[in-house]
Amino acid sequence: MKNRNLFILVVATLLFIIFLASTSALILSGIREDSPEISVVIDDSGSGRWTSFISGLEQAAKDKNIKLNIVSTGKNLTLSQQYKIINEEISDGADGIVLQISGSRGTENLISDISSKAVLLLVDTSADTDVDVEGRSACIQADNVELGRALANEVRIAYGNDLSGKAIGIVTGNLRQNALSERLQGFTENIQSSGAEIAWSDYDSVSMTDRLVRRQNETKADIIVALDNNGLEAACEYAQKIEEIPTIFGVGTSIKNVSYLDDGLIKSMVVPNEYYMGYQSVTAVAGRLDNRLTPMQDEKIPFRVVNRDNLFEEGNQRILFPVEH
Amino acid sequence: MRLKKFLKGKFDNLKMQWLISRYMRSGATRSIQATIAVSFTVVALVCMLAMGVALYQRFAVRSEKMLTDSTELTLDQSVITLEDYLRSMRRMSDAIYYNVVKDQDISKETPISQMNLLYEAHKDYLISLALFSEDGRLIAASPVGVQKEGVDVTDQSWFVSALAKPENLHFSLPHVQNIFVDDPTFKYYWVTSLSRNVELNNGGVPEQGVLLVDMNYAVIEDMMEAVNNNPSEQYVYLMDNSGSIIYHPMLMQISAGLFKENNLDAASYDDGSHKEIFEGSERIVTVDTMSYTGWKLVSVIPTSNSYMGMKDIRYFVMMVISITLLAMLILNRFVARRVTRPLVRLNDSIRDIEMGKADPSVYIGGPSEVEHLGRTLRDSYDQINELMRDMVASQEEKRKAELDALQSQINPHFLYNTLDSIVWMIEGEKYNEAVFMITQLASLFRVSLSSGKTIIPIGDEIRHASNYMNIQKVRFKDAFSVEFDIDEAIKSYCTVKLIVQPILENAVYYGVKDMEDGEIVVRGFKGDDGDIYITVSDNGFGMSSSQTELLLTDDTRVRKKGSGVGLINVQRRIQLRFGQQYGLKIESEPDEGTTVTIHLPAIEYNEDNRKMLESGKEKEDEK
Repeated sequence: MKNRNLFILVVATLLFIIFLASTSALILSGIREDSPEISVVIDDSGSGRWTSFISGLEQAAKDKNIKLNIVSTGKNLTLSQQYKIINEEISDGADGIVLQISGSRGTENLISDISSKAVLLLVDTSADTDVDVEGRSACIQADNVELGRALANEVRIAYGNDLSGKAIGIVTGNLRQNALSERLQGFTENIQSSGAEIAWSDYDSVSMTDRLVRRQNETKADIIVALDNNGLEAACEYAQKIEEIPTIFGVGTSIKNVSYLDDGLIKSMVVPNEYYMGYQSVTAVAGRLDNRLTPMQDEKIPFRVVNRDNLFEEGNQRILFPVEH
Repeated sequence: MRLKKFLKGKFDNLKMQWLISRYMRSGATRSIQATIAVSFTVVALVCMLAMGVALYQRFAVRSEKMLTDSTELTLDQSVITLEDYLRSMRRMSDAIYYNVVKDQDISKETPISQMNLLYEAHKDYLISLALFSEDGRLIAASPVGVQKEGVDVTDQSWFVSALAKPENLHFSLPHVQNIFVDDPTFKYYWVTSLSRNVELNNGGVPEQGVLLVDMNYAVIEDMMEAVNNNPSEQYVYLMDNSGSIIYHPMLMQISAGLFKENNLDAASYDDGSHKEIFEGSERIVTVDTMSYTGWKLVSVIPTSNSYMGMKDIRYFVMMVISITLLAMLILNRFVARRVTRPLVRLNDSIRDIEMGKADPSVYIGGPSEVEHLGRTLRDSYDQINELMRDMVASQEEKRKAELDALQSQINPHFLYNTLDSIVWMIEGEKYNEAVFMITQLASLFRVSLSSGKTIIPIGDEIRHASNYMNIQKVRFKDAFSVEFDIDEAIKSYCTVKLIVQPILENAVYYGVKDMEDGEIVVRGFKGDDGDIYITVSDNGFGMSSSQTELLLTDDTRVRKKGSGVGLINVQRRIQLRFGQQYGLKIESEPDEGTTVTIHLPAIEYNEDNRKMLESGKEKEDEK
């Protein structure tokens, strides 16, 4: 009898607990939680170079119910400036940071510090990090060595694989970033056997067009290869000013470069799918914020090779041309 | 199929019966209260589940119907809006063609001014208007634009389809306009091209041409985004009749391979709602086809989202189930307790009876059945009590009768022998001895009678024994000696009468009768344990241990000598009055002699104790 009473008491208590828990869950679920906040720190955030990337970020933020804040930044931020901005964003309540780091070397402490305070995702380029067994940060970028090789292939194809006697000028982009140094490595490795010679290899983040004029005056290159979007735009701007236009190849994403390609200034352009990069970066940070035990993982984004002939192909249109309202 | 169903039904029935009978069997030892509570709970649960399932089904069907109805309504409205927009574009195309181009000689004047006017009137929806000759040459465009070098419009799909089917107007898929140069702003426009074949008058020579109305795709996108602007997982997309997507809220994700859509299959669906399973999840797809273009507006509702319209339904269900079960548990227990209370009280009464509670009261109350049970039980209990009392009384009477019988066994034997001795003495003229004998006999009988009492003082009993031994000594011509050593203190204690005499009789007949120097010693004293001990020792022939045992156990032996009253009778009488721990103890050695010890409780002789002992009360109390 005693056992039976005890059993009924236990069942009744359990049912009461379930009732209380479900009622409170029902009430609490009515109270909307604040959306997590992700801040995006990229170089020159207003640049048309980021249109596709930002579009991806925004779409993912909408899908994942994330409050997105793209920090307004100028050109050529230093590491310390980025660090300061990030700390301000974190103190303003940012739960996650999407960062295009301005220099990849000596960033261990910075990354370790930020990733201990917020979920950190590097985009566009990797950086030096301490051993991160917990997966507190990750990097989403293109396979830059492969991308450099693809660019070299385009140059080779354009010249029937015979580049002997041809001089190539390389607008390297910011080589302090791993992405650019890897692109350069991929490109030079692949172009070496073609017989072409590297006339010059240079970069100036402030006035590349002027630097190009100077460089071309010193040693004229028949082919200019730009490894980043800004360098490619600078090369095209340079080409518009001169009469004897060099053949331009490069990596680009901005509508300006697409337009140059459409005009025939650029022979061939490699376009990383930055919409995908933006979408996946917010998805990865949101996933980590949702479950802190899930380690973040590095991811490679695809890229396309576009030239004047395939520019308006259906598959390329969505990536290259944003819809303007 | 029917047979299978029938057999399955039969099987289910049998299974249920087996389960119920098993439950009943296993529940045989359960309390009625638990059985009622469990049965009520099971019945209520089954009813609740059945109701729940039925309601859920009904609710699901209704909510699905409501959802599809409202979706179809939304789609209809969207279709109307989109059709209005496309119709206005078609009308504009008609206006340019029939009112401007058809009447104009393009060799003299291009219709640019009229086109500009129409463009200005519709520029919110338009990117450009353009008129091309059959060979792809630009005749007029609004706003004025420069055709890109190297662009051959005759390759473009809108141009090809316009010439291929000259009788129709053709709406293209959204694409980036690739006709005009717009260098300074680096702008590219997403357009949906409306193209048609036109007849041109080139200096009186009829020519074919193509009129192009490039509609701003952003307008369609804005319209569709307005439809999709809701927080649910439901979305609407637009495709042409072959399944090519014109607008999709996740078009970029689809392009990037992050999302998949079942558009190619949906193209074959008829208008209305359809259920499909895509990528492992069930969804309701509603299709509405637009007139003229054949474009299809498709609404997708994942069923996981649609039925209840709220994710919190599981918490709600848990809440309802737990509160219902809790209420059921409490209510059923309460009801079961109320129903079984009379039975429980009756059961308690029975338990009191079982436990031997003095004068237990039997519960009579509750429903008529239980009241009847109670009454029957009480009557039965009373009857049993009556019978018990009768039985005890009859047993007591029987016992008394037995005692009386035992006592009466002594008298005839002894009297016969003694009278025989007295006759013998008188015949031998031993008158003094005869007088002594008669005196002793008279004293013996006085004690023997004791006014009908069975309990007498030990002193009287010893006197009785002494009288008896005096008679026996005369009979046996002083062949043995007798010695009485009785503690005076014990003479005032109670004893059952006539218990020493049979032992002495045995000592005489089986011990010392045939001996030359036979000796019998009777001793009485109070033991260390406070009880009374009377020993009768003789130096006679003694017995073996097996014989000794038989003396107190074998009731069937026929005595050859003496009064015929055995020691077993004495033992039984003592134990009947005083209890099993008292009685006789016989110690004997062959050729050594025998000692019989009478063990009695030390009970002071007075009238109360006597009456008590005679009524057998002491023995009952001891029991």
